[in-house]
Amino acid sequence: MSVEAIYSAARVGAAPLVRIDGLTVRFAGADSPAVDNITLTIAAGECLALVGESGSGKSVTARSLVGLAGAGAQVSADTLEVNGLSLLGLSERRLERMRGAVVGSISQDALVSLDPLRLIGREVDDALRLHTRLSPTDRRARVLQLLTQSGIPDPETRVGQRSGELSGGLRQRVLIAAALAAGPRILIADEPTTALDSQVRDGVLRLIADQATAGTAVLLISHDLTAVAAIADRVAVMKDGRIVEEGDTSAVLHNPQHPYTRQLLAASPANKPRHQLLLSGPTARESLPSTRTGDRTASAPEPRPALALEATDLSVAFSSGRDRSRPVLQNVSFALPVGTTLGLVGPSGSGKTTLARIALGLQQPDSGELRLLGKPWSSTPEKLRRADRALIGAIYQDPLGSFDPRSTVRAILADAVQRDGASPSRAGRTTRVTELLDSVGLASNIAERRPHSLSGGQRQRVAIARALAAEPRVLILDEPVSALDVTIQAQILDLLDALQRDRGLSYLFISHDTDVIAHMSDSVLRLD
Amino acid sequence: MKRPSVVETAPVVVLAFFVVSAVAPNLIAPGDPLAIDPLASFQAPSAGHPLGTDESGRDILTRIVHGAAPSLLIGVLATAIGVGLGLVLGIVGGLGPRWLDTTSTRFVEVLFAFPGLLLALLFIAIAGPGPVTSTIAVGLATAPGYARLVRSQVLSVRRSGYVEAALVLGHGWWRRLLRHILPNVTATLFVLVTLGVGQSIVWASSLSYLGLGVSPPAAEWGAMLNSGRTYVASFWWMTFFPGLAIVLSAAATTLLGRSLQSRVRSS
Amino acid sequence: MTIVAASRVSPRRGGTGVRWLIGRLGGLLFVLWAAATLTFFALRLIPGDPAEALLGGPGSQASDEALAAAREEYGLNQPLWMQYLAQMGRYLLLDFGTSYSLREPVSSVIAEQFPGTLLLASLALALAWVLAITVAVWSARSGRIAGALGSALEVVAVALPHFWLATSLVLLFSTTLGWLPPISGRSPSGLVLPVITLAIPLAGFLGQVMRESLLNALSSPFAQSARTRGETATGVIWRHGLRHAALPAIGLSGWAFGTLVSGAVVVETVFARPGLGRTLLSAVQARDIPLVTGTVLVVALAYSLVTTLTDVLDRIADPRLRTEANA
Repeated sequence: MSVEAIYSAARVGAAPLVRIDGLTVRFAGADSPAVDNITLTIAAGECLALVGESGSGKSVTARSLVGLAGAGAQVSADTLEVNGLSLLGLSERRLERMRGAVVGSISQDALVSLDPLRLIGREVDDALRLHTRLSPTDRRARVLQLLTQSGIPDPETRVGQRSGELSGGLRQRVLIAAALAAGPRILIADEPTTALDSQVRDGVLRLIADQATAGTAVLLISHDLTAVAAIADRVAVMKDGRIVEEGDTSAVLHNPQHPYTRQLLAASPANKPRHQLLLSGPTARESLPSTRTGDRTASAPEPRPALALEATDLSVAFSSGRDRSRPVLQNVSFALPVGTTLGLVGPSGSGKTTLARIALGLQQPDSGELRLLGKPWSSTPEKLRRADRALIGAIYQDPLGSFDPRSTVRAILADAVQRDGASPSRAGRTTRVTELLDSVGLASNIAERRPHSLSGGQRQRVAIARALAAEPRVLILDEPVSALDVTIQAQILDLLDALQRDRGLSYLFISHDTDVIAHMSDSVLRLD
Repeated sequence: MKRPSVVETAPVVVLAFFVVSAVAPNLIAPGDPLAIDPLASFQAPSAGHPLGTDESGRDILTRIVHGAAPSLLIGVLATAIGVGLGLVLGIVGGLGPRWLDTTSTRFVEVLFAFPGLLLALLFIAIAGPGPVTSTIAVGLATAPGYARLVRSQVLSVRRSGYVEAALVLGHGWWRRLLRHILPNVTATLFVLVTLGVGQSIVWASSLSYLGLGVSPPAAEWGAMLNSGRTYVASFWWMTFFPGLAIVLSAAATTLLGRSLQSRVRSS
Repeated sequence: MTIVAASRVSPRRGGTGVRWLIGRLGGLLFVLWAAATLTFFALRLIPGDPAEALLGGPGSQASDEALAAAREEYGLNQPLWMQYLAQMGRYLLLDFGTSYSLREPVSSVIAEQFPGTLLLASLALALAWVLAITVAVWSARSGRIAGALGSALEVVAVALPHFWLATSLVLLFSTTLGWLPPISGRSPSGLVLPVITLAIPLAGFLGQVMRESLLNALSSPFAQSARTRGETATGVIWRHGLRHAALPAIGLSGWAFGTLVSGAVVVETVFARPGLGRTLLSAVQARDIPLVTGTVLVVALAYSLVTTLTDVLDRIADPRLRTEANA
């Protein structure tokens, strides 16, 4: 069937452009199907959002729609149609002619989904070369037009560049232009905004919403309920390969029927006031620490410094390998009162991480000073600073990289407990490790496991336990929940909040997620 | 731990055979590798001499089995020399102050300007041929490669998240070095050595083949090939089988190193 | 941990193209100077009379006049630093002295022998590339069993010593089949077996590197994204995979050239083919020090030039080495 024939077939009636009935996808060796008997339709001009956590089967559903479910996947369905064309039993050649021409796809890894060695123009041109009979000159003009439509300024320059020369937002716009190049009637957007900064995110979402307005059937896959609320007409919630709830966006988001949908909505930090626990019920209680008693009441109220961190005019000229025309940090000042959280936001490259490294004493500012608990910190030589390093700890986005690959959880925590000068006995260390695990809501039997065998949430809890081992007063949290699913994210956020209130900790909280920052912070510092 | 596959077991079996040959050659071939029998010279493989005989009627199988000890020992010693030098240069570069790193990196770069066997040949030209000098020569020639690998490994461990995490916890330099950096560097070094022995065996036997290492009539694989060179057109078994022993042992150690490497990576 | 993004700690790879090239050439000059210096002082480590060493060691029984002439020629009566400066001066003029075993100036021996070896090494490098790409593409297209087979072939190929491969090829193609001459000489047909001998182990090595990066590229998001635009499996290999597979192999080709020249020592000897490798071996056997040092230094010079060239090619082929904006 030629592309023209496919188009004319679609114009016949107002039938939905995507029809899925009884779709089941199994992977060889897996116990349960990745997608379990789901039914969906998407009409022209409609945007359907598929939400759910990782492993729920939403991406596999999307990939099945272009015949790329993956190696070892067994796809079966009663109906699997795009634009009136059944994909069941379609040859690889026919599938290739369909991809890009009938169904356009935008993938989640915007930063790495363009070939770093090829010119932008050629990447966008691919679909035209494969699916149209346009002459090279016409194709070039069309590429420029597509880039302009996708909101890319100065397309004449951009076509001659490679992905390395473009920002994340521009790369995603190029991918959208490439997906739309051959004029597909269906657009699949799989987590199109995950890798993007919040300001860029809205523009990309608007561009996708525009496609639906123009008559394309859009399948939006996202874990981001704010994004979904903004552009989707209908929402389908997936869990363990099944659709548990489906309906109009406002109905599902404001009046959820299924308990899982309610849990997802509750777990989202959007519009939740500070210190409100995100999760309640059994999941929450299990994951929160037992409250500490004893050691805090004993200490007499000593005069405490009011500020945990105080930065005055911090500047860093530039870091290696970067654009040298602008400094990384310029005259940044802030104050973090003890027991509170300062949220740190800003686009990538704005110096958030540099600021975190200065706070941790891993990097020196070129000018300005950072004081820790009222004492000089950034200006102190490392020899003297070491004694006070216990006061400040760090938790990173990827905890796995911060664990010695040879160590068990017990070894990691015991190593952190064992401070120079004051080494507790073997038995004392064992008790302390159990205490620490308990304080982050982990069972003590996890101690003999290695971090790579733990789940993302468990790893982050171990990282928190290690940071707590030295009894710090300040924690630097660098994107601590960015790699986590929304329910796990809620558990970690609740845990961090509980620890803060329980121990009077001060947090410098870095995140690109404005909802998380709004929920967790007492004040916010924006870097540009 | 998953069951070992054929690719993982075959090299172990081959190496076990050669190691037994090296330690107790008489178990496998209870003959004298140097015993000459002029009446039985140049015999093709047969029941009496499975791999044939050489120009003096010596049994090739017996010589290959007895040759395992010197051939493997030279390979292992040369690797030890290379890795030892590489460790010193690499650790000095990876852990030392910046000027020391620059100096050692530059030095290694200069050694790298003599590719492959060239450094070994230069050394032999200066020190004279022989088994000892050829072993040292191979060690010297492989050292720059090890130095580079060790340095990059040290640097990547030193800059890793977990070493930084230990710094943030307030752990001192020595503690970070002994608890985290050195153990993680040695873990990969073990693999490196296994991968390197195969190459050293090949290079050392190349030198013997060229008449710069062990000389005939000693039962060493490269030397056997050297003495068979003259007769290659008429008596192929004199060169084919000793060469096969070299290929098998080198490929086996390489494969073993590979499977160790993938085990280390996956755990 | 993302907090230490690689670019923030790793040293800058270079500024603009011209500045990078100047730096690279400076490094090249340094390495050559240091290699020459190293050789000069290494020669002083030979025990005994340096004049005698220059003439082939104590076994050479050089006459007193010859020794005196050698002392005069190399200025051995002068202080070490003057000898060193004089030697460096001669090296600059590509004057490596006289080979006592061939009784010819070393530089003219090298000029005569080098082209043959260069031809041999270049042909072997080209053949190795063709073999490596073929095996890599074939095993990437044909699934897991082919992949395992390809990988096994590569490991065996890498472990093949040149001398054994050469004699085995001679046995098969010359002695048994009689297709090709066992002695290389200067004829084109005599070049076939030496080139194959040198190419096979190198192809195994390059093939491993290429296949790994080809598979990485094919499983990367940008290849997936090309597939969703309708690109065929073959199209992805040609338009995306091969460039990524070639990059590390380009970078390694300089090194490969070095191992080929070193392998020529063995291969030229087995095939009795005239060339620099065979000259070097007989010089080492005769302990003809001027010829050995001359040859080694010229090879080091050629090798350094080739690696510089491949670095330049690498930068041209990989725009990521030039633009740091996304690092």
